[in-house]
Amino acid sequence: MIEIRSITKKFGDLIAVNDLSLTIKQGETLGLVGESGSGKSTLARLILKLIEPDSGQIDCQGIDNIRRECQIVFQDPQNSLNPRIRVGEAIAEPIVIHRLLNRSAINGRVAALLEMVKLPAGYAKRFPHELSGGERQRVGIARALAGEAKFLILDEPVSALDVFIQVEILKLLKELKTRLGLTYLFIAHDLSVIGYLSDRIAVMKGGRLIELGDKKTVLTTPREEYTLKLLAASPRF
Amino acid sequence: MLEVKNLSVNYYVDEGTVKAVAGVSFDLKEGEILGVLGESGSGKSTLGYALLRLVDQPGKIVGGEILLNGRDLLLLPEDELRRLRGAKIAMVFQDPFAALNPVLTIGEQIMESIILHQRATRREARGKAVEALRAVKIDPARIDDYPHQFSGGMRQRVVIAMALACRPEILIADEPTTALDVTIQAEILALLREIKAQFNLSIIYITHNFGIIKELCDRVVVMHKGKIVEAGETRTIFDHPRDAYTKKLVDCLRELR
Repeated sequence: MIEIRSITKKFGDLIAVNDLSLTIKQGETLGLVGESGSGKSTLARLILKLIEPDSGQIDCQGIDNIRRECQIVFQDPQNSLNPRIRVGEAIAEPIVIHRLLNRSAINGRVAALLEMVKLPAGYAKRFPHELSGGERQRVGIARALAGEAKFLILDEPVSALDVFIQVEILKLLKELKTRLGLTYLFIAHDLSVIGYLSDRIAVMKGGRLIELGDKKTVLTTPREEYTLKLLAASPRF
Repeated sequence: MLEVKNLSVNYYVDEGTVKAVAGVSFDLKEGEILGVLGESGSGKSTLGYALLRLVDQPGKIVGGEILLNGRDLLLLPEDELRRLRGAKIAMVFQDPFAALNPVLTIGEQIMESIILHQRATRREARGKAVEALRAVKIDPARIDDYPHQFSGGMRQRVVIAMALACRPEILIADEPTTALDVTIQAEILALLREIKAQFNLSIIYITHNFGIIKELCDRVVVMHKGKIVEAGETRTIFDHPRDAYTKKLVDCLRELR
């Protein structure tokens, strides 16, 4: 679905993403692991075409409108929602911007999206501060889906949440993926939650992709020393 | 060495009274690392602050005893308590960026508590600061550097050096690695184990991360809604949780695995 070919992005002297090639297959969840500064967020911004690469290409097959069909769910739902805009309006915004529905049909669609992320329809009238962290993350997901997205980048979507809520959100993401036939790129800085959703796992370090393999292999018998180090460092339960 | 009996802390807010810590009792043995495990809002951080009587308005310690070698900290006059903070019990916080003064060199900041607590001369204090830096494996040549010249993990080492400077008996660490990458986190945890042995410290480690507790702590108390719902050997609690909340937490983590 997404084919990244030898992409490089520099910021001044810093090579944030260095000659990286990677394919994200239709319908899979690709886990992307790396420490801060490894270039994973830059890669996410490149895929979404929020920034342009210095060289290399990214092809998105089956995507007509990248701004609508490729979406991102951020780590901190507190910061990604406008505190002065009601939840319903925040979710409706992509529908309005992309002129997907008539005014009259929007409320019904917002209610359906809320139902999809298991929030009561009445939440449309609430402000973000009236919601818990987990509920706000559900709103973030509903808004990402509002424009009928096919591909979601999940950028540390549960790292700011408590364990119980983490599990709920991960379960919801898994369910939505099956129900809507979505493709995910799931970014995390440690390996402890990435196994739950991912089919394959990619490891980035210093702007390069250093390891890529199916979940089980990467989590049990990785090829790279660095991946072993990451595994050893992740305090696991 | 530290015995907490029936400690209670309330927050008086517009909506009413929140019992953040509701009658908590536990003890810390010499040379052990005790984990305090809880989700956000469980009262674990308030507990940490309360142990040093650092609970701010609108919070108030409303009852209980905190016995340090038999003396109740809650009955001490403020000036006596101030002599004790940093000297006998020190604290390390989550965010090393916020814990350091950006306009002072790290040496100045480590020396500050030594000069205050031990009435040391600047020369003596500097010598002790060098020792503290060595203990946390920072090149003492960097003593005159400023916080911004250090990475996040190095800054947390500086903060730990500050805490160790006066050779406290007890170190309270409140999520000291949450802001750090996992490999750096592993280094800091290893460092804590090492300085524990080297300085004969007892450590209270507050976290929401069961993985860290499992790796680091001899015993653990599990907090939920201001109460300790379960306490015991880390292994036992992990393998055979008795309390419903702990069970749910353990099941949850097993599912994520």
